[in-house]
Amino acid sequence: MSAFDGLATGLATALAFHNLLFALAGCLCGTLIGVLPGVGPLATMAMLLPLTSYFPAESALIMLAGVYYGAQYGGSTTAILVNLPGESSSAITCIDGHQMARAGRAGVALTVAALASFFAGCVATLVIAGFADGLSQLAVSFKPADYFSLIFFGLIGATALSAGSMTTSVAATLIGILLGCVGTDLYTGIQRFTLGIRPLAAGIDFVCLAIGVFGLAEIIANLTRGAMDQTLLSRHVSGQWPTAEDWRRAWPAALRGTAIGSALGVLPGGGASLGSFAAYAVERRITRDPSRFGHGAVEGVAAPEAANNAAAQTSFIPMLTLGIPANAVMAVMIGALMIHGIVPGPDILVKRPDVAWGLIASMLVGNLMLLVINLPLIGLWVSLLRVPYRVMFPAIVLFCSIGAFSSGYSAFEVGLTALLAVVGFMLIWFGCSPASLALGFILGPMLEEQFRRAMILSRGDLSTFFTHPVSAVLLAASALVSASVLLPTLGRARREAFADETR
Amino acid sequence: MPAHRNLTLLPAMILAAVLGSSSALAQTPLASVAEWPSKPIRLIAPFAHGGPTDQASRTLAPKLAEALGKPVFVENIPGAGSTLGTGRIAQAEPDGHTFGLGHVGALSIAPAMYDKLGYDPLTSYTTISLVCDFVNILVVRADSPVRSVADLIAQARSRPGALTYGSAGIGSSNHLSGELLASMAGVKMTHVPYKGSAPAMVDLIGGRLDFMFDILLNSMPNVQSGRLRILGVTSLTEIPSVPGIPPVAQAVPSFEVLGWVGLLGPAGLPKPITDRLNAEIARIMQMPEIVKAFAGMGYIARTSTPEAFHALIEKDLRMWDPIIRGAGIRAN
Amino acid sequence: MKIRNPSDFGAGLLITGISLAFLVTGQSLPQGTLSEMGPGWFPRHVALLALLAGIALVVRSLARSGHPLPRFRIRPLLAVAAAVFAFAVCINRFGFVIAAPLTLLIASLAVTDTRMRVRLLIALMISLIAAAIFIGALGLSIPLWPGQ
Repeated sequence: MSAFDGLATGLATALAFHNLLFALAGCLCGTLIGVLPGVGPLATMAMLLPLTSYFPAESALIMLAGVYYGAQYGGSTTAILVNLPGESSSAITCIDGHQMARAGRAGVALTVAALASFFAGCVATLVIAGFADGLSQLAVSFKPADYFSLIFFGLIGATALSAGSMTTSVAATLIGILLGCVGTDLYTGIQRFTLGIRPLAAGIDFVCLAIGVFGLAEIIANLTRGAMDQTLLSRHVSGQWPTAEDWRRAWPAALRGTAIGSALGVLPGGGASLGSFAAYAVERRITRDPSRFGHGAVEGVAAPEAANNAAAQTSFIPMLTLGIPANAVMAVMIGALMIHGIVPGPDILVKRPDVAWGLIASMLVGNLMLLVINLPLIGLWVSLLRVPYRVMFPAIVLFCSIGAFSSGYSAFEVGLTALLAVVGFMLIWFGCSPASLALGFILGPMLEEQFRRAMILSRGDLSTFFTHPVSAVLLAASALVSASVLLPTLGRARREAFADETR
Repeated sequence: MPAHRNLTLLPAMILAAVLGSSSALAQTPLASVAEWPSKPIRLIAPFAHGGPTDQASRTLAPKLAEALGKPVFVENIPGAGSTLGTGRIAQAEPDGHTFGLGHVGALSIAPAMYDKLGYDPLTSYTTISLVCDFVNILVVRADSPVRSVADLIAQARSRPGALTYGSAGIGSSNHLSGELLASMAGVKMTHVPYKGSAPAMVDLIGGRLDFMFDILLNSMPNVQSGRLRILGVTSLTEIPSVPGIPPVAQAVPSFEVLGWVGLLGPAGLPKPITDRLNAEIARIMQMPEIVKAFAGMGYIARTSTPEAFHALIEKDLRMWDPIIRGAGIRAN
Repeated sequence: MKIRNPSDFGAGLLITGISLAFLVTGQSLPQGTLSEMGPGWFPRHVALLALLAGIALVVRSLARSGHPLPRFRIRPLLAVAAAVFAFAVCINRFGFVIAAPLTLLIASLAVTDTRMRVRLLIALMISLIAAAIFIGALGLSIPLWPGQ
């Protein structure tokens, strides 16, 4: 069955009235979940899982998938409005998205995010339809050494994430890496930096970090700077639609983001977050005016949003073709298939095209649905921003506390979030970027994990990173990028030193 | 002025404290079993969302709710190899409204690995009933030159440390199965831990690993599509879900790894409640739809007396302790 | 020695402090070698790099000028942190009915010019809405009443 036939079959399934209802239910549920801090799609999907045994298989999958990418949309909404990333992949959207909101352009930011996500979702769906096998081959042949070099490249490329100086963003990234090392060491089972506190043995939850360092720290910073008697908007609120200038900048960014996200989403474990970080870094590198980033550059919203939605879709590929979940959410999807007695694998596209293609086609439908649901909601969100800050901020603090509590039903994690908020505020106050911290937190431990694994498999031979072609290329690229950044800085520092001397 | 305003908060806090403590005092201990359950029940699942053990808890919960007449909420408390959530079960009030699922990993394996667990598997709980058990299977790539377990052992013997196997992490069932095999067969193999079975499976398929133990559920898709081949099961006898596959014990006598999950309550639970729950579980685990649902997750639905469950925990604790210490697996 | 760049100075001190804390805490972890890393190798080297970065920032702050920091008031920091902390302390013992209004009240203390009556009213309203959304609609297992 060719891809087109498959899609046609799938659309017939996806557009059936009851499946449209399931998609709608999933998307609505997912958006709400995504908007609330701390409550993630995973918990909701796990809760819905037993219920799905009463529905037909494709309806179950359509609904669960709707929850998942609905949550991506919702997570971007809070990232833009209140600097709170709903998912780790929305952390990047906070940087420019929230700045756009503060400049009165929340509506534009939300619209660009919604449209970029929609575009990416559609393209990624077509990618799945056409390239599922090839991409899953890529996923399987990616060695630990390659993975390491990819993450290393991502870290190097993305370290200049903040508008501030290179040193502060590198330092913040390093601190993030250290925070990520808290927990149990994967290879020895020994606890690191947990100070004997048992709940820390599992490591610091990203939810706590995101809520503390992004959401709460931002609130404290706002209040300390004196935003109490205003609303969250400091100036006149512009209309919802992007200007021609915005379109011109945003759509190529969305295209690039889609490509990056689609490719990285298939990699097991962390591909999605890596995708949005990488997309942002690429935009920053190729723009003519990097100073706009960090202050509300529309590409800084379009690219990562496209990347994270594309990755969310392509992460279905290993699940469908290999039966291997790329992340915990996919594990739930596999569970849903198993409950219906369907075993995922390459023949699912042939044996149960109604289920597999129905799911793929419903992604197109679902993304459209989300756009239709979310665009009108943007007006609502923006008007929420008009609520006086003195009423809003305690509510956000409470919602943050609830979110931190509900991810593990742990009061300890709430206390930890408070501590992280203090540290995060101090970093922000002194000009460090929380996004750099988040980047280090997510990528650092992955870097270590892949390095050590590559070493075990190569029996301690360091040259493995250079003998594997993909890895060698990525490392060379990292060296180039570092050189291109460091040399001008060094040159400038030398010139300044000379200038001081001659004064 | 400011001083006046801040003082009004103080009486509010005192009032809150008084209300809180008085209502805590007003809680009388459980008067009689006839009144039980008197409020919704918490079922603690010390597992991450979405995995088969989590799904098992969510399949069980509504049936329990039906049987007991009150809602049963599943609370996921993942972390530290399910020891975090298992510890919470022990800390709960024994008033019959909090229970949890105990996994072989947390009850019989973790005690040998961790110094301070925060619970004692033999004394911190009231065991209620076994719920299900599962076996592991030994898988290799379909095109691997290894044709049987005996073959695998022979290769491992001729090249000590050369064969690699993946696992879901230190102390996981797949890891320990590998350690047990190595120790019982007297060979040396290299363990490569991953964050969960899925990335390990990817490396196995991709040719970076030589073999792996895993539960049936995770490997099924790839076995069916022909990418992986099953060499053996870890039960002592063949099992119906994988007919024709010999037990590993054929090549390595007495080799057995059986995982299980059971229902626990905190220590000191009144006997009538334990008995009633045990009866309900026995009834539920025999329902055809439950057996089928659990089989789909790779589990065999079981039931047992409270005493038999306790004995199982103890037996496995004694079995795993020397192996874990012998392999030097510590997590401080 | 004049602090020419207060934000670099502050960042530098903070980062130096955190990296030292990690270095000290991680002293007992086995290091291993580069090709056979122990659990302590990676964090130690990252912490050393961070320490370097922190010191570099402090040194730079003495040499190069930068913008002065805005005026610092400690009230919002204390109020928000205390509010979240109060939630942590109260939620299991006293339930949502106590923890939520308390958290809201303490957070609202970050702002000085509201009357207590207004604060209480807003706190109660938002608590009701939050309870309806999180516990009612979403069914999260958050203890509502004390002793639950």
